[in-house]
Amino acid sequence: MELLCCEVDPVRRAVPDANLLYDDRVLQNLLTIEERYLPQCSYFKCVQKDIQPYMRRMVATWMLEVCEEQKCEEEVFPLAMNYLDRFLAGVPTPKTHLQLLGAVCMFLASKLKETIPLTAEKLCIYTDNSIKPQELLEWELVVLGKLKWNLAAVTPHDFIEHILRKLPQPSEKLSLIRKHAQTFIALCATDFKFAMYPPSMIATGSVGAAICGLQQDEDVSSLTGDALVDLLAKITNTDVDCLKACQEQIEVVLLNSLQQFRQDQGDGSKSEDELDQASTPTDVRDIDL
Amino acid sequence: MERLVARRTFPLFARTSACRSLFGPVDHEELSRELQIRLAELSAEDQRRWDYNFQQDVPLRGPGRLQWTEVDSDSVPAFYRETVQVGRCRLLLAPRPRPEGAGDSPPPAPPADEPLDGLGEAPAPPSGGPVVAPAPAPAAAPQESDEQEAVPPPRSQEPLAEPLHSGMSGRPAPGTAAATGSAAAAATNAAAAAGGAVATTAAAGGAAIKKLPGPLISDFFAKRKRPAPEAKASNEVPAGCAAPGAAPAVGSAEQTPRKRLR
Repeated sequence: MELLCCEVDPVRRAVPDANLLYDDRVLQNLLTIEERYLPQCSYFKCVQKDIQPYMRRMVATWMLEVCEEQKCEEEVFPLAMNYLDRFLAGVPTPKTHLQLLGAVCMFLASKLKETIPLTAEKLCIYTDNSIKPQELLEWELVVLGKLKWNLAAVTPHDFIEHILRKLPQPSEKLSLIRKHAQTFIALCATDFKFAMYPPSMIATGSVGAAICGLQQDEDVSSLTGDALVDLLAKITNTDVDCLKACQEQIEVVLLNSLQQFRQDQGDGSKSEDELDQASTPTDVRDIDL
Repeated sequence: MERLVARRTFPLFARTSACRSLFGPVDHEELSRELQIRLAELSAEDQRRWDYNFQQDVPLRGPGRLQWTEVDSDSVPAFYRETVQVGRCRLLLAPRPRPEGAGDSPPPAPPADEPLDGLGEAPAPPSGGPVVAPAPAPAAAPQESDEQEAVPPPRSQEPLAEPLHSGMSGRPAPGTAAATGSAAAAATNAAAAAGGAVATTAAAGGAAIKKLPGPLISDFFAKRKRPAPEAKASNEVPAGCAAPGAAPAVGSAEQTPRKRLR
């Protein structure tokens, strides 16, 4: 057993930068450039022959599990999914290479966003050693090339703070809303329906869904219903109807995910690990609607 | 701490249910073949983009979008000359003798009319790949879109091409900055383009001089390589032509990481 030095802070984080958060130009610029990082097409129809939508869900679920187990930053998973979708929108890929691709995307996203990134070796272990670290590194180059090294994609997380600070919520409620919204964002990233949505809409819809969901348990918001949607839509310049539709879709996906979870539990096939995971705060499944 | 525990302190982490192979065994040979194909695609794309054969390290024979001209290695900053790492020191290499045929007349390279030849040719070996491919990277988005306008056909499978383009439709037409692309700026591009691999030509000094009112790679690099006032000036030219808001905003967004790296 190695010694732990417990005097170190868990993760050193910069304080929120008012220059970034309280300047509307930042939000406007994010809104301007976000579309550039969307996948070019709905690739199941036009590019991929071997890969089916359920396979994307499988690899996405696996990636989310790995990210949670490794306690990655919240943005790593959605960012990795962005890379994956953009790559698949351009490069026909056999399904046997899909997990490798997922690992490469996590590898890149983790390097971009984390102080202690995931290692190639660890990711390979997570594929049950079906790929070798060398292959991961080689394909990293291919993914980078195909993405034109454009890695700093805008993700829904980039919008969360900008949205939250404009809401009239009491600040003690914000952290719970934030946490739930982050969970919704991860949930959206696993579902291909949302892959072509602009990140700002996913962020806005997730915050809306988080507030609505929490509203049922406790009073987190002075705003409800249409007033809330109107305000949210105004913040990110989203069409109200689109936003409503998006929020409803998020709620549907959440319900499906909950049902899936109960089914899994019903099977009694859950290992202890999985139950453990379900109790982590980032997991969607502990949100009670 | 939580994360340190997760990442570092327990290197032999217990296998969890997340350790699984999703789609069965991987055919490593097939994977490797696919890798070579993809790397060759990227390499051909780079060759087309820079009119430069990175494998043989010689400019393509024209007429292409870019015309490569030799410059003396002494005229470029040491930063762009070939170095070799010895222990903790980095030593400048003496200019290498130019390869045969790479003199005044264009070197033996596939004619630019059929740049696709490069595709079939020796795909970048994994070790050589990294040197070549990263090069265009810093060029990042803004310039990307410019290029789209000038080089319509070859990029169809590039995932970002359209969004980039459409997102930037308001950008100034390429051509404005040709004036700003001085030889020095162009040299920067050339060197940056070839990255470490610039070797012979750039070590002997390679500089691209704009010939056509093309995509203006120099525009982009020129902006960042120059001292602030000049950079501003070169920024203003295009900005004045169209899309006052978009271009500078994007430029600055993309600039930050580079500034830090340098």
